[in-house]
Amino acid sequence: MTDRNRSLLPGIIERSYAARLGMALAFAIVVMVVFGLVISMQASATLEEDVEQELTSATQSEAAALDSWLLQVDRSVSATATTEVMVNGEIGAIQDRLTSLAERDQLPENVVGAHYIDTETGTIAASSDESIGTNEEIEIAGFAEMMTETDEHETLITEPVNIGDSDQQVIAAISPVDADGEHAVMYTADLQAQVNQSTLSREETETAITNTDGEYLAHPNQSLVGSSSSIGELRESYDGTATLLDDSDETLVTVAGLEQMDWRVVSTTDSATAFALSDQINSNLIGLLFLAVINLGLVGVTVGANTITSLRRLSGRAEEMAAGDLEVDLESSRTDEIGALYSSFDRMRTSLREQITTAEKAREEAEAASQEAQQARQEAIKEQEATAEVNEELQRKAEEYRSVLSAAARGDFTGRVSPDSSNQSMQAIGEEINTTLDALEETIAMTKSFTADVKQASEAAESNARAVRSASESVRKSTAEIRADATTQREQLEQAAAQMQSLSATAEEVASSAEEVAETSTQASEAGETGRKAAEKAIAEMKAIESETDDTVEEITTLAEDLQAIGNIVDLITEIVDQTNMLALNASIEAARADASGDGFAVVADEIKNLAEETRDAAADIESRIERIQNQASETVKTMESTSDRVSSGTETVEDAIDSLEQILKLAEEVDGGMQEIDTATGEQARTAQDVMMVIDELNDLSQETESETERVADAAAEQTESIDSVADAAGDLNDSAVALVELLEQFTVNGDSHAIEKTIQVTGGEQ
Amino acid sequence: MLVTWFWLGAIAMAIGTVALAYGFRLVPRRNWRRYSILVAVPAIAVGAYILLALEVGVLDTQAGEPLFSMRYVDWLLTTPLHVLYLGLLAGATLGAINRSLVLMALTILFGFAGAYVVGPMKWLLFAAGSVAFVGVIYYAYTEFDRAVRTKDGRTVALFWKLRAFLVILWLVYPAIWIVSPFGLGLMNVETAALVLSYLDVVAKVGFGFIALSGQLSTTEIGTETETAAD
Repeated sequence: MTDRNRSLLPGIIERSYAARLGMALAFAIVVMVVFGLVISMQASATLEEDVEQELTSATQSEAAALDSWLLQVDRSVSATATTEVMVNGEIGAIQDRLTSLAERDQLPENVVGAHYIDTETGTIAASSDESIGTNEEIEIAGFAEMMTETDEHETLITEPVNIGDSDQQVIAAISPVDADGEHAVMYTADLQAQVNQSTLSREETETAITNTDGEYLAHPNQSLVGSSSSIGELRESYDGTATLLDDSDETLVTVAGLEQMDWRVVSTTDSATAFALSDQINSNLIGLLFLAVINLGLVGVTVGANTITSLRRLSGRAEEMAAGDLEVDLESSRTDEIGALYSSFDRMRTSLREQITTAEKAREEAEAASQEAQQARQEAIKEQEATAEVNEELQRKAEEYRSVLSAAARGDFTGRVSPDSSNQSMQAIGEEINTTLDALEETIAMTKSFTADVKQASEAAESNARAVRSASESVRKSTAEIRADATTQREQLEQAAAQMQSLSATAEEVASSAEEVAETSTQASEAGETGRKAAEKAIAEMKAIESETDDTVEEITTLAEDLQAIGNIVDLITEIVDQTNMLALNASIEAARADASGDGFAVVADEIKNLAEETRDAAADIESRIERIQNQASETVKTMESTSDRVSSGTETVEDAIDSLEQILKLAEEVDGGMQEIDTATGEQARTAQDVMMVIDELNDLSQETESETERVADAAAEQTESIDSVADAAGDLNDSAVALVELLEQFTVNGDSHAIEKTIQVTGGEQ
Repeated sequence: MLVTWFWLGAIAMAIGTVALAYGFRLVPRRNWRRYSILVAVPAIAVGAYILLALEVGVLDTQAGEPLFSMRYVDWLLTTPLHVLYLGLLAGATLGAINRSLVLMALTILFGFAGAYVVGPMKWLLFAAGSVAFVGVIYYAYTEFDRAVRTKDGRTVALFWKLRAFLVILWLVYPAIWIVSPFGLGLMNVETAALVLSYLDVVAKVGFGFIALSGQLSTTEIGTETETAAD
């Protein structure tokens, strides 16, 4: 279905939603109609079958009912015939009896009369029906035959007959009374009434009874009784069971046979009424179908048309959009899927707009690009044209250049190209050509002038060479004289050299002697120096001794003073000891006075006295020792003072020695200096002599060299003379060449040519 | 039952009429004339159904079937009104509208005559009515269609919808006619009355409502487009 190529639907339906919807609805309707028809037919068939069965069974039961009724009548009449009253044959009693039967309703249903009849006469002897009365002759059609046909003891039931004058046709049930066989009891029954009573006898159904000949024995329509049934088939098709004989459009006819009699019950029903229910159902079914169709149509129209119009509108809008109109109205009041579709389209349109904007921009860009391309192409064409022009111009220029260059090739350098060109290279070439031509022209001009110069120079050279030749001749003469002088000079120099040799030897001897003296004086000087130093050292020692002696004297003096102080202290001690001794004496006196208790005290005073004596002894010892020391010290001081005096005089002596030594030193140094001077002077003299000798040697060499050189100069002068000759010749040749060159250069034409050449020529000519 | 259906039809028509009459408040005044057609149709039907329910104008056909002439009177008035509305909506020419109105009336008249008579004449008249109806459809699909195409999209949509509505529903009428006692007699009078009542209510009131809703949307759009055009 979704695959277009394989769709089962025809194209026209495939293409149209309306057709699809219509198709679907039509299909639904067709299905409903078909099923409605099937249901209707089934229902109709069932209903009709039911109706027919009902009719058949109703007819059958009707027949059975009639049978049983007839049997009842039969039995009843038989019973009555065999009652005693009947057998006795007494009319009165029989009459009573019959009347009472009728009155007491002892007769079967629809038995309208009970009669006692004389079978031989065929009259009614007695009857329940008063109207008939007794002995009234009654006419019973075919009664005799009936009577003969019947068994004597069996009940005979007749077809409907008219009894007496009565219009009413009744059936007669006749049963013989056993006693004589001349009488019988006859019941008359209203068959029609019985039939009408039947269940079958409804409004729509006619129930009739026929005999086998098809003659109506009973019929709702009285007038038809006795006539033949219109239903022809009755006789032929009846098979003994209840059957539906006829189901024509109008009527339904059912037949059933009776057992008691050879009669048939025929019920005729109007088919329209019989099938009314079926018709009603069918009608309702059709009505239902129509309602369904209407509703489907409504759905199709409302839903379908809405959808279709919405879709068509949308499709139209989409077409318009496709055609480029993006301003179409895409509003929809719908909120369902269609509405969603509209909004989707709206969104799509927005996106389309954007894309179109992008595309247009791109297109504009493309157009701009193509315009640019066009422009570029035009420019290219223009450029091509320009190139052509340039080419032409180049060609022109090239031609011009060529002519100028060929002129140049021919030697005419005056021509110049006009380098103005649109082509830079060409211009550059032109300029280069001009520059080259300028350069060439200048070169040629220069060459020309140079040639003139050469010519001039060569001429000058030639004349100079001649002058040199004469000069060299005179040189040669001079050199010969110099040679002679040089030889003389050499000899004199050799003599001077010999004298200088001896002078040098003497100077060397003096120098060596002076050196020895200098050495000796130096040794003396050194010895004097050593003596001076030793003397100075001795003076220093002596001064040290002197100062030490002074120190010692001082110390001794100090010691003497200290000793004096000690002496004083000893004096003091001695005084103290004396006093102590006095104290001790006093103490011993006191102790003696104190007596015994002063014994210990006297001991102590003794002891103190002893101590004081010992102390006085010690102090006297110390005093004596100090005196000794003082004596020794003053002696030592005296010794010291004399030593000091001697040292002082020694020092003076040594100082005098030093002065002498210094004097010696000074003298030695002076000697040494003099010797040094002598040495230097003699060395210098020797060197000078050496130098002089060397100079003399050099002079000698020089004069020798001069001699040989002079010879060579003489030779050279001779050679030079010859060379000068050849130079003069060469200069002549050069001059000739220069003249030839000048002539050659005349072929080249250059600006300022004529006067330059002229000038040259003039100059040249002027010199010559 | 027959009368019941008619009463129900009358009630439904009355409700529809009232509901549609309320639509006057929604429709702009300049559209009232055209809109009144939509209200007139069910209003006429109300009267017709009351008369039907009262069994006024029940004729016996030649076949002895009861023929409810009021129904045909109703149709004779209302169906041309529907066609008129359709024509006015489409903006068709007066000539086309008039011709289609005549054809519509003829359809009903032929149907009525066909229902009355018996034998081949019945079917001849039915065929004549069918031809007339085809004529109406023809106008709706040609002249009206051409005319409406000049209108705005919503009017076109409404026209298409109403036309489809009428054509489809009105095609049911002859089908009912065929199966009704006047035709094949497959459907009895009662059922036919029920179906026709329903169909009438749907066709008349439904048409009115579709047209009303459509007209509302077209008026809105119309106003918009008019102002836009101005």
